[in-house]
Amino acid sequence: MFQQRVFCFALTIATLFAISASASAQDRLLRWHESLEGATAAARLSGKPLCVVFRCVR
Amino acid sequence: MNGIDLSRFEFDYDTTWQAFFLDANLNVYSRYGGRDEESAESRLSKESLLTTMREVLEVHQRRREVDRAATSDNAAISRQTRQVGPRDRRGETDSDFHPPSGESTIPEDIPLLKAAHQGCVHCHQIQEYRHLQAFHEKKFSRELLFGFPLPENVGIRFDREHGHKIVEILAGAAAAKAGLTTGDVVTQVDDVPIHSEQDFRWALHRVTTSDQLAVTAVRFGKDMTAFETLRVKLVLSPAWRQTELGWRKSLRSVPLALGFLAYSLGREERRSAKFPEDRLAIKVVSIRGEGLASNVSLKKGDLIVQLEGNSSRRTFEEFQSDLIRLHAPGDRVQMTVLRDGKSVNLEGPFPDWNSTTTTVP
Repeated sequence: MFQQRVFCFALTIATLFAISASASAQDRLLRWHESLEGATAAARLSGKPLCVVFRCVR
Repeated sequence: MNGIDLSRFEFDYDTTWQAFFLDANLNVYSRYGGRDEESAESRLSKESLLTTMREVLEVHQRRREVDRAATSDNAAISRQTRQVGPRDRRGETDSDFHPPSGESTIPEDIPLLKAAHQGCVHCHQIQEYRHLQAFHEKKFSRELLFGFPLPENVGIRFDREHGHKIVEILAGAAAAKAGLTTGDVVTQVDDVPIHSEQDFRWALHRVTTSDQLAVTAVRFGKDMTAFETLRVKLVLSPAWRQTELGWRKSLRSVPLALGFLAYSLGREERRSAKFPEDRLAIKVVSIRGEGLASNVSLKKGDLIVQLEGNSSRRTFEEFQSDLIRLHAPGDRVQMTVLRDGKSVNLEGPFPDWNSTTTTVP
């Protein structure tokens, strides 16, 4: 249990955002999403592709 | 990584940053990421990421325009499609997407992980539990360690600022023999569309039994407008998958029975011992149980200065990587140690894979 707590500092984060072909850099990030379901729903509505990022901090 | 579909989001789980570009149905256009022994960012650049993003957007836009045209042609069919919902293209062939990687599977499907692990599952732990699970199911092989081979393994060096444009062809390697050359832009490998170096590495990663790769590349003329499309076959050499393992976190869970603990001498120790900075110097601090140490009669206090004739400086992890790359169980291992001031040659069999561990810290 101790080991698990010690190693808990390392966190895997899956972050999702959609990008657009045009518009300014600011607008290219449609928004950040906390779930894959929310991101895919937004992508479907907007017609934009998704970018899913996995980042491991260890 | 808890609950993540590993068949869809398949990447090198020892890396620290990985991006996927997908459509709304989670079909994968491209993968971007990867690293090597140099550093965590050595294969990444803003420019190559932009190249990948531009290309993905171009493909995505083209597909939308085709879909729109189809919609206007037949509104009734379009309405029906919307009612049915999004299409998952798994099992279908679509040359714009990366082919699917088999049945859905999540980290918690690995029995040892499910039995022992609590809390967040980190990327590298997936790789480590896979090693241990394979060993305990007697399915472990050295090949499992060499995932996501580098393009250099087939003789290609890509432009870091572009991602999949060839900047160098290594003499005598598969790519040179196939006729690829500097400036060619690789666009497809087997059935994988290529928009990044990591796409190329994933295509290599998927090769199982074949000893050939079908590569499509675009070659531009001198004015950079006219181009031709090349289709060539790369013939893979033996051991073509092997890469440096020393940087991988998952190395600690490889079922390698070393039977000793050691470290590479630091600067101060080398200075006080008058030992060269650029030479191999692995200090054995303890002998533990059965394994390579007992097979070659290694002793506590030995300083390993040569492995298979190579005496270049290596970290202890890189030394382990060399052991694995150069030997299969049963192969003879030859090393030279300094013992009580004398040079001693040691030799013995590389041990069978073995581990009593069933968990990953």
